[in-house]
Amino acid sequence: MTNIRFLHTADLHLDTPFKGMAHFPAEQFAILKESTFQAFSNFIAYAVRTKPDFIVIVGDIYDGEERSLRAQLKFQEGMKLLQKAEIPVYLSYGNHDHLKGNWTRFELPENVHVFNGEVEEKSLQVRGETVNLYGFSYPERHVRQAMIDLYPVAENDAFHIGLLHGSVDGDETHAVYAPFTKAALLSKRYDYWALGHIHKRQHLQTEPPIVYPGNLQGRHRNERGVKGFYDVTLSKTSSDLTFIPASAIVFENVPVSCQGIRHAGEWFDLCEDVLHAFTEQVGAAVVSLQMVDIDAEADALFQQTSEEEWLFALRDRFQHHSPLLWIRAIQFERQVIENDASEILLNPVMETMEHWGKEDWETLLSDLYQHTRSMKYLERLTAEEVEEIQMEVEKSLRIELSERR
Amino acid sequence: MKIEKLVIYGFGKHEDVTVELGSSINILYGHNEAGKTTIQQFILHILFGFPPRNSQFLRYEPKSGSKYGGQVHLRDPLYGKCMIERVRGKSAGDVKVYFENGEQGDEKALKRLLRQYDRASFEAIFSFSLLQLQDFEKMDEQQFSRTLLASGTTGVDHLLQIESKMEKEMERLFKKNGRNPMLNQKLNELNTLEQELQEHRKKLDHYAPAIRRLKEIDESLLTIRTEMKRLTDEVRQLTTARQLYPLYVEKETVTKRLQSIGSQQFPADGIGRYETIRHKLTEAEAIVFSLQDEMKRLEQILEEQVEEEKLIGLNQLIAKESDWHRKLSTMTALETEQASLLERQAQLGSRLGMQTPEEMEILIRADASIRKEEEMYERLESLKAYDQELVLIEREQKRLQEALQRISEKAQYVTRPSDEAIAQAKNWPSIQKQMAEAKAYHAIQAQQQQQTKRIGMIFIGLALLLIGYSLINQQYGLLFIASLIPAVALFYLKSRMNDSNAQEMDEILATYQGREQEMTDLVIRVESYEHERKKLKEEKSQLELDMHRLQETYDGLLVDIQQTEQLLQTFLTHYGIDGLPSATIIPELFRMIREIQEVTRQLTDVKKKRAQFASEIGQRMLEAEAILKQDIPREDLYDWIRKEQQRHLQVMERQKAQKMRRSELANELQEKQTYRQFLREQIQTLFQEANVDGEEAYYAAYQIQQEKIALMEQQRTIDLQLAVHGEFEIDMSETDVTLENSIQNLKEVIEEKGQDETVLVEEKAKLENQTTALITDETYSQLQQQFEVEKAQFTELAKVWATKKALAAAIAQMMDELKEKKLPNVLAEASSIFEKLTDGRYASLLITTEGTFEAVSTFGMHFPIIELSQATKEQAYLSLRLALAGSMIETAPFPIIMDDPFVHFDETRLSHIIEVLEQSTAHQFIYFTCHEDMQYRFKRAKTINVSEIGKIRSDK
Repeated sequence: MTNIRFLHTADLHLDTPFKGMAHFPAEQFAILKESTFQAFSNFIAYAVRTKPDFIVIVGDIYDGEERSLRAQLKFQEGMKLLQKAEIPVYLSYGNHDHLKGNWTRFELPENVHVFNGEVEEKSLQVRGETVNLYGFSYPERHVRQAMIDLYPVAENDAFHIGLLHGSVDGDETHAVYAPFTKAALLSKRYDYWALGHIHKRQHLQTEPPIVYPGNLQGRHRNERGVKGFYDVTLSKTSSDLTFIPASAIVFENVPVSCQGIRHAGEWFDLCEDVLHAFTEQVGAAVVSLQMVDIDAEADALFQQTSEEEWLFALRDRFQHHSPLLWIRAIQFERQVIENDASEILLNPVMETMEHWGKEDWETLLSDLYQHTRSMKYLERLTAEEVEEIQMEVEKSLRIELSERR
Repeated sequence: MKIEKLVIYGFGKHEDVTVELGSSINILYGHNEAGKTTIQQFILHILFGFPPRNSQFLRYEPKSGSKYGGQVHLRDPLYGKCMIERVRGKSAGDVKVYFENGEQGDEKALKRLLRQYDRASFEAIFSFSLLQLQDFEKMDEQQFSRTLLASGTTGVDHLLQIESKMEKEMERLFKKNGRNPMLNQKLNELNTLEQELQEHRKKLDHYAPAIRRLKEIDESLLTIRTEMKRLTDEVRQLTTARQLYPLYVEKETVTKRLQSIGSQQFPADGIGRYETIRHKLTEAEAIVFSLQDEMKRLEQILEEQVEEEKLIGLNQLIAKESDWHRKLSTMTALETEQASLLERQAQLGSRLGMQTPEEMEILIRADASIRKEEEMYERLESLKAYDQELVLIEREQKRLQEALQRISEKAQYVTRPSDEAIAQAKNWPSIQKQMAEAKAYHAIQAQQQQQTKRIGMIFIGLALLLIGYSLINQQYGLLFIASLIPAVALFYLKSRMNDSNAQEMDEILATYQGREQEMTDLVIRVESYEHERKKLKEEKSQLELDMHRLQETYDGLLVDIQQTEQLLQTFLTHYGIDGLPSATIIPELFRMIREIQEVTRQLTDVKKKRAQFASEIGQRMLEAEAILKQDIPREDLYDWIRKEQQRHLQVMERQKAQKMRRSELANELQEKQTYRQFLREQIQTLFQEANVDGEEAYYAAYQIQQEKIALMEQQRTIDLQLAVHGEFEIDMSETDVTLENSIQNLKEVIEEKGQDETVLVEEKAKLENQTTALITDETYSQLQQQFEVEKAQFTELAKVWATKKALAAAIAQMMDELKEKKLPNVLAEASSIFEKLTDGRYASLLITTEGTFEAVSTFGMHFPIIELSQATKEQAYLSLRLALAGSMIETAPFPIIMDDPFVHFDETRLSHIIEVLEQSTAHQFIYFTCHEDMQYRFKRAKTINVSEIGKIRSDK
């Protein structure tokens, strides 16, 4: 039996703006902006170099309806390179670049096969083997229908690969993105399920592989780690998946152990060492530093200055770092401060707050978060964020009380 | 929580002391300085740590140097039996907690055990003293009320402060309708940015239509270009046709013309030859004509007459040229002389004061001969002599007068002698007479001698004068005469000196002189007097006589002078001069008169000479004019004459040359005429060859010949040109004009198409630029990223705001709960205690809407705290504290420490409070007092005499 080899990627989000980059210096925007293109270029370069039999791209090539023309141009150029290398491309559009969007599509070269708004089958021959690919493009932003039901069941010995941009049924917020169940996928008896939409790389099933390759380039602090695509080799009996890194900038949380730190200089040096080691490993990065193992002396040191000041000072140190290194935030993971006589005042306040439910919070913050002008710029607070706020409240209350001692 | 036992290692004055406490009320009694406060502080120190060394609290370190610290044994509802031991160590001391189950703990465990209470919080609720109450007294109503409230919820103030701080900070961050708070500003920025994004996005919308239009343009361009190519081909065809058309027409014409010309003869190089001959002929004829002309001119010149007589006359005139010039110059000299003489005449005339010509005429005519001059000098001399004489006389007169004067003076000095003397003297008349005579004669002689001397002097002077004159004028004859004069004079004088009379007189005198001596005195006296008188008289009359004579001479002289002057006057009048000028200038006047007369005479001479020369010159002019037949200015006369002579000489020369020339010309003319004839014959031969009879016809024949040659050449060229285009159909019905119109029409169409093309191409370029710009423009994604960054910052700030909001809200909510739930409960409890304490006098305690406390009497009267009596105030306070402590029994079951707070209570109320305390068994009370009897008031209290604590130890 012949093996077939293809690359599986999704969620390119070309030319997407990075989120949560507060205070990021404008003069370095270019580096951020280029990163999605760079990741894409890395992908194309890999393809041209290793010549897979074909490529599947499962939705969300562009970030949004207001996709930039430049993104299209870059994509077109990439596709042309693949055409030159005689690599066929099978792609479907996802919720971010659905078919209903009112824009001019750049003409793609003939090696690119685009799935239309309904589930359809496309075939190609690879060294005498037939490969059938199934998929659809989002006809509009939301696809509530379980599109999986429309995929045919594989019935012959050919290779069958499903392209599906969507999320597993059950997550309320993602129900509008062609929900499916693992069982439904398995029921189609395909050799490979090429999924897209979820940006976190994951395997829902090893055999046959049901795979989210994750996006090519992380775009915010919750898309951490090195991003890339899969180089897949399939036979009728086995599969071999290799993750190929492609991202140009890595988002990550980096822990820094502060045990024994006494002076600011020591701390700065420590952070630099850790971060140098980190960037050497992953290249350009946007990091959240997590100060751990804070002992009493280190704590005393950190108390000397506001957390914001520490952050700014450290950012200054990495201002001209190459490759790009942006310190998004510093978290100080402190043990509960001992010997704090303010508990008696603090506790009742915190207890009062712990009784608040989701709605209480929303009502409380409605002035800003439900304000007609500002609500469009603020996303609804998640439970996690509420917890963060509570921690912040406790922190600031402690500070305020200790100041009044 | 109840304290069971205190073990003091060393604390203040207490050392090594153990105090056992009861589970409910403990009364620690002692006199002042017994150490009550020390025990109280011991409990607090062990539980909450030793105060820092520099704090306001005493550390109670034992003076004896024994071990610092101790133990507190207690039983806790949660943790069971525990022992807390604190000893000297770090500032707060080293603490250990021993639990019932054998576990040990440090500060952290102690905190837990103490429910996280610090000392301040603990004291605020569970420890009170009279001191605190006394403090309250000083406070005003509001403060009092606040303290009451705060005392039960320690740190509430802090929380309230934090709340309001949060509120303020929130306002700085965000206001619903604000503009300046940070979030509002950010919001505006975001809005602006979003609008900018929208605008950019709209620009992107142009892309699709632009691309569509580009496609359309490409199609249109293709159509237009095809059409243009077709039209251009057609134009090219027509243009060729139009180019060839005239060639065909021309060819036809040429052929026809050639036919009509037929055969035509013309001598080879006929025109060249003809024109050469013709040219030569013209030249020859011109020479003949010019020769003839020349001849004619020569004849004319030769006809001119030569005036030989005139020439002779002229030559004669020239011979006399020098004479002419001399005369002219003499004339000029005379004129000059005349002028100078006239000037001299006028000058002299004016000097002589001649004012009129008549006066002048008299002057000129006057006799100025030598004789007249002599006459003048004579007169002048005599006048001068008279004057000299006059001077001499005057001098003599003066001398005489002086002499007269002297005599009269002398007369005065002569004194008259006595009469006797006179008589005596008369005796001597004769002698005296003789003597007198002799003396008189003597006197005269002396006088004469004087005169002689004077004359001698005159002679000498005269001689000297003459010598000087002769020496100057070198007249030696005169010199001789002059030298004789002194000799003559000397002789004359000598003769006068040898007078015989004188000798005689002298002899008489000498004879009689001896005899007179006797009568000397008298005679001399009288005689001298007489003599003197007489002599003086005589002298005087003599002198007067002389004077008279002199006067006469003088008068005579004056007359002479007058006459002489009269004569001079008359003399001058002849010359027209009035008045008598001074004698010295008269000779000058005479000289000038004579000069003027001389000048006048010279003038007359000059005039005469001039007249003579003028007539001679006039004569010459007339001669010259006769010859030249012309009026001539006198000055240029000889220039003219010489010119005229020159001219005549030239004419003669010329005529001689012309005659020679004439014969030469005659020969030449003959020659040229023959040549001319030869040329004429040659032309005739050419005409015959061309079969024509004149020049015009000859040229016409030549033209035809030339045309024929050209036409043949043209025919050849056309054939060649046509050959290039090969076979070409020409519709000879078309004309150039119709062809041109067709081409023009087509070109217009092409141009229109071209314009359309240009418009489209421009539009295309523009659109291509636009689309390229849109594709490559990174502004949009830049803006998107910026928007995200701003949004992230906004979100961050929003979270900060949310934190503050949540904190403020939590505090507010807690406070509300405190006020609305806890406080009413506490108040109710406090009211009931207060009612008990006051024996029903007051029903309750409440908080007014303003936040102040009030006590309400059983009759419903409201009293602000401040209006209560001291004791009642304390009771109200106690009620609140007890109620508060009671309300916290669950969360903080601490003992209540009291420091003699009941001293102001009366018997009734004291018993009431004791009742209350004894009823509230939940709390342990540790009551310090210095009032001995207090220990007997309680029924179920454990009493400890603090004064005895030490004693117990010392007893050991």
